Amino acid sequence: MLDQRPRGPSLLIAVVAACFLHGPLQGMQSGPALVLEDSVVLRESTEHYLSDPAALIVADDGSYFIADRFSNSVLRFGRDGGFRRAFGRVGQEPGEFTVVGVQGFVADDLLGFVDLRPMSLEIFEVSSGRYRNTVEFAEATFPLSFSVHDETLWTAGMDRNAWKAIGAHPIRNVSSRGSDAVISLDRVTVPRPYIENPMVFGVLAFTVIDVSDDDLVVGFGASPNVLRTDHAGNVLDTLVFPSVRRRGLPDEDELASLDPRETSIPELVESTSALTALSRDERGSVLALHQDFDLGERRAGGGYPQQADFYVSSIQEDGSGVCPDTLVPTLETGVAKAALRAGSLYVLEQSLDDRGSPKTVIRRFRIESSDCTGRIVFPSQGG
Amino acid sequence: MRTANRLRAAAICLAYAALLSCSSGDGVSEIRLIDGRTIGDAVSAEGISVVLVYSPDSCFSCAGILGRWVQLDREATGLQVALILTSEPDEREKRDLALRRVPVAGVVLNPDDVPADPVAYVFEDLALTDLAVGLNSQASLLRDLSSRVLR
Repeated sequence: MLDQRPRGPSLLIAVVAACFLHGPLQGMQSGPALVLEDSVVLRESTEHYLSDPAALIVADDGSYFIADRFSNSVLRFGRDGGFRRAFGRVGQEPGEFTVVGVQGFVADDLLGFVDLRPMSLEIFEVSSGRYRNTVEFAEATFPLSFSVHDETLWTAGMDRNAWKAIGAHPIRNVSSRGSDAVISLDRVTVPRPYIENPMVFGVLAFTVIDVSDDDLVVGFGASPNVLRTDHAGNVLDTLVFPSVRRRGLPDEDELASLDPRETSIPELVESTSALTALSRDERGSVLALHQDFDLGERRAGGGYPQQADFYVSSIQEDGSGVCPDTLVPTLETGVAKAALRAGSLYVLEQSLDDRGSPKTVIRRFRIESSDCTGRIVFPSQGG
Repeated sequence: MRTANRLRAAAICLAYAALLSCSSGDGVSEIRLIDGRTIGDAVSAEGISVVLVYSPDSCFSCAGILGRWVQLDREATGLQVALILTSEPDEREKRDLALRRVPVAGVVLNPDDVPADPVAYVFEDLALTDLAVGLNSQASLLRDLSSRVLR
């Protein structure tokens, strides 16, 4: 049986702390401090459990929406770890997922998650679980992440015809029952390596976005530059996240000219960092989550087991106060998923407990962009 | 490349034919497991049994097939799914299976007794009635069985 009550930092955390409580590397710029604020064990049941969690989204009320590739559904757990509801199931009918994607959003009473085959956005009502609508994407458009701000659904992805990265659609248009809205991307040009090299598109296809009243910050897996633009997509500024501890990226020319006969896809995956999330904290600092993926041996039937090291960086909106690359503590034995929301980092990990039963834990860290020491702070037991 | 694919398809067809002809003598049911039981022992006496024989090194997330079998097992009445491995899983593989909460019904004694590709055997009332070798074939078998036993 799984633990039935959420608990504070446990022995598990203490062990992790022991492994990772080290000071910043000598002589190198340090990343933002991470302060563990919460650790919740999800109360899964024999009916509703996570077998292959693919993506984590944290809602305004602190509840967790987790896409599971095994059941091809999205499970909602409360901030206390209690199971609330499942959305969708495997299938090809409206409201079902052939293959649930990692791209989704939660906004008020709406949950949207991408079905990868065929590419579409399935929308549900959070409170009732009812299916609401299926939204298609324009031809050659690949959604990669979403952000909802002020009644607008912002889609970050890649349109491989026009090579645009961002689209904005009134959320009522896409969520109305029977709406035939089509999501398209019409602003912010995709970086050159994607356009010139299909291999880069295949490996580093990440477009991430954070939206405020005034502007957007937009990042790409194959670019060290994060763009700050107005809502129309006009570039206002460029922020650069240097790589100190993570792998980083080759320069743009090198990426654009990579030859698949000389560099295999696994080699490219294992030699680069991918920008996988952006957010902004209450100070206006831009926070970035990078992942250095490691692939295991190719499995029978295709595919690779995937593990990743996660790094959090921060930079002030005016480009000063750069804090690069705090390594996020994770278990060595698990495949973690991480997400940013405002000034918090959420890390989901699965492990086996003493009895060999699976356990899913979500830990929430506060990202201290003003404390550029790279410290990982675990409050003491009972503290 | 196309010729190679055709040859592979032909080889799989021949394997189907050989296995189905063996099945008349219940050859699949009699494949031995390392604990002394047989595949037939994983088959229920009534209804439909799907016996999956996968390598423990399989990409269990690929194409989502194993997950869909598990879902079908949960949702369908009169159908059960059992997973049998072609060899003993190592520690990492045991952990992967445990995290996915997929119980293992057994391990075959001699891997040569089963196809190298993942195979699904379908038994109805103890008789072998269908099989699918490879994940793509299993996807269509899954669709057929789902339409029969669900809704």
